[in-house]
Amino acid sequence: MCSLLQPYVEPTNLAMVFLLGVTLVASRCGYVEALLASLFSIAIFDVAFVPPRWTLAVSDVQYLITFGAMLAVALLVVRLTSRLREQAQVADERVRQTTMLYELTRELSRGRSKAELAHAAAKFVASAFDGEVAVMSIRNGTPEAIISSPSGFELKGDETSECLARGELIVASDRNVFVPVQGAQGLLGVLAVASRRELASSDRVLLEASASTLASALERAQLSQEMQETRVAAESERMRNALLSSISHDLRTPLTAISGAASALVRQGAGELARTIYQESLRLNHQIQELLDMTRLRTEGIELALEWHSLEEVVGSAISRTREMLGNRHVAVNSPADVPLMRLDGALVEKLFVNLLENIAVHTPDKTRIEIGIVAQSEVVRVIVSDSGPGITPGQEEAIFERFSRAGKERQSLGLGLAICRAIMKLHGGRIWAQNRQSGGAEFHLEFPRPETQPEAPVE
Amino acid sequence: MSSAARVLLIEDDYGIRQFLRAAMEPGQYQLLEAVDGLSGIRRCSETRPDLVLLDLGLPDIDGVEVTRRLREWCDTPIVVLSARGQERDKIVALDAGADDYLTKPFSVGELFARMRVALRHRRRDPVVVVTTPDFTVDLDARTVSRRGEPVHLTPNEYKLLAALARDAGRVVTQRQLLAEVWGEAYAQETHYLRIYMGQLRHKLEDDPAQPRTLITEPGVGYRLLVDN
Repeated sequence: MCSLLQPYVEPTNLAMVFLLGVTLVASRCGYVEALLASLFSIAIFDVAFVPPRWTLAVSDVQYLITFGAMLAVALLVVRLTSRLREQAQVADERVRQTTMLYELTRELSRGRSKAELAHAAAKFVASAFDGEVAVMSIRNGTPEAIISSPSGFELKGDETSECLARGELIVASDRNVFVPVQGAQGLLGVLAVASRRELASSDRVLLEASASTLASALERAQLSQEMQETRVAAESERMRNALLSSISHDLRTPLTAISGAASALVRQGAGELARTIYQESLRLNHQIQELLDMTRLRTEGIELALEWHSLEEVVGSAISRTREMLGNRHVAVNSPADVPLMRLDGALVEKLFVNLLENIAVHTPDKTRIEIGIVAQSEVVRVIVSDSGPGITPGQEEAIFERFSRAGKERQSLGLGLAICRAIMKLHGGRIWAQNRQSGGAEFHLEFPRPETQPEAPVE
Repeated sequence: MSSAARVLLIEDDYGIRQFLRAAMEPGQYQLLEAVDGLSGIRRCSETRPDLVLLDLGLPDIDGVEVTRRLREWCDTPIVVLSARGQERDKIVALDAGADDYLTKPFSVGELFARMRVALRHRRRDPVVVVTTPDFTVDLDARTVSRRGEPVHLTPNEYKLLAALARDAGRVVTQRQLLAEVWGEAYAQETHYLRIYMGQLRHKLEDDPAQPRTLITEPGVGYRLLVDN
């Protein structure tokens, strides 16, 4: 090309054309090739175009300056273009890594459960690094689950423990790496990679970035699950309250009319059928009350309406309320003067004694004697309710407090009475248990914590 | 009673109205009806009944409000009907001037007992002597006797007993009792009542733990029962 141009162009311009050629070579090929090309260009330039032609010698010393400058410029160009190429390579690599991370993030954003997320991350890292990946998640410091890609490899080794202990990336070899999955709230697990190629430092950077992305995704999944659970709990609480008020009012209204009308019929001497309607409506009311009590008691965060009460008075009210059901069973109450006032939810504790007495009425024959003794001790105040009936079937002393437990013949209630008693005692920080008396019959022991203080008594 | 007592029932539920209508013994009671609070108040002023039976769960204005408005101009006895669990409403209604209460579901027998007591208080002059199976209280002479023997009560014990005796048969709320014996400032000191009622029972009842006359109305107040 240059020889064609020669007759028309100055040698200096030819030199430029050569430089252009060198630059082209430098931009395409490596450093060494470019260097060789520049030397070669200068040589050709000298031989072909500098007088005397066809020799390496030069007639004018100024051409030496030309050669020198050409060489220097060529070298500079080669250096610059090489560096540019290197930087372009690095930038490309970064773009590649960023794209990979972006894809990982996208992949993870689809995952719902922790297992799914770990799987997605493992698959991704395995394909990105051409190797095998295992992910181990931990919960409260102990290993929870292990997910590994196809052939799987051991995650139980020392490296894993060290990684977990130090929370740092551990390099086992130039192909095996253990990466901690570190979330904002703490260490969530370990990502182990066994690659088929050597891992460079840029790879480690990528691995750490992947692990961190996985950690964010795991934490997000956790939070989302907790939010869901809270929402479900709030919803069921709302439903429970709606149910309670519905039972309380809506079911009771027709029941009032039924039992009221039946009682009127009984008064007017309408006979057995009227009596049946009345009894059954009372029974229905009783069962509704049982359900209502149990539901209310099982509501979390139930607040007791605590006030100072006299146990003697509360027991008395309970006996009065169950008087009809107790029939001709005689109740004797022993309440000494040294029993302090107790801090109780009056309505609940009365319900407790009502349930106990009803239970006794159902399980004992007519004329059974019932004794209620109240004893004040240093730490507790004890109430013992005993009867002279047949007692509790041996072995069933605990079982009777379970919900829906009914002795064979009992059809009156849903079997929640004693379970409710236990729930109420528990709410008051006390306990209740049953045993058989040596002298025959059953004995229910109630223990209330003794209040440390007493309210101020009025002055006369 | 010479003529049938006129009873105004303010109740929105059809079933309850129906059974009460059928239950009222014709010679004894004449039943008038209203289906909500506002028409109930109006009916009361038009007909001037001897007794009002008022349901607390009314559709337009609640029973407590009806009680308040009625009490502004009339002193007809009011017995409120409430569902179990509506303790607060009951107490508020009683403090606002209702005379007694019944908890649904109730039997006709309970209803008549309450109505009788309420009507008796209306017709009679202020009570002077109250006789119960266990003891007798003379509110004029300020004495209490049991089986012929006088019983010594401390000043506050007597005041408490007198408060119950003046309203014999009717429930008296905790607040009313505390206010009458110790003053308005002590309206929250329910433990005073626990202590004093216990003392009264020990002095006046055969079995203080199972009282027949000095009855607890749980969550509401106390009642001195006269026709056991």
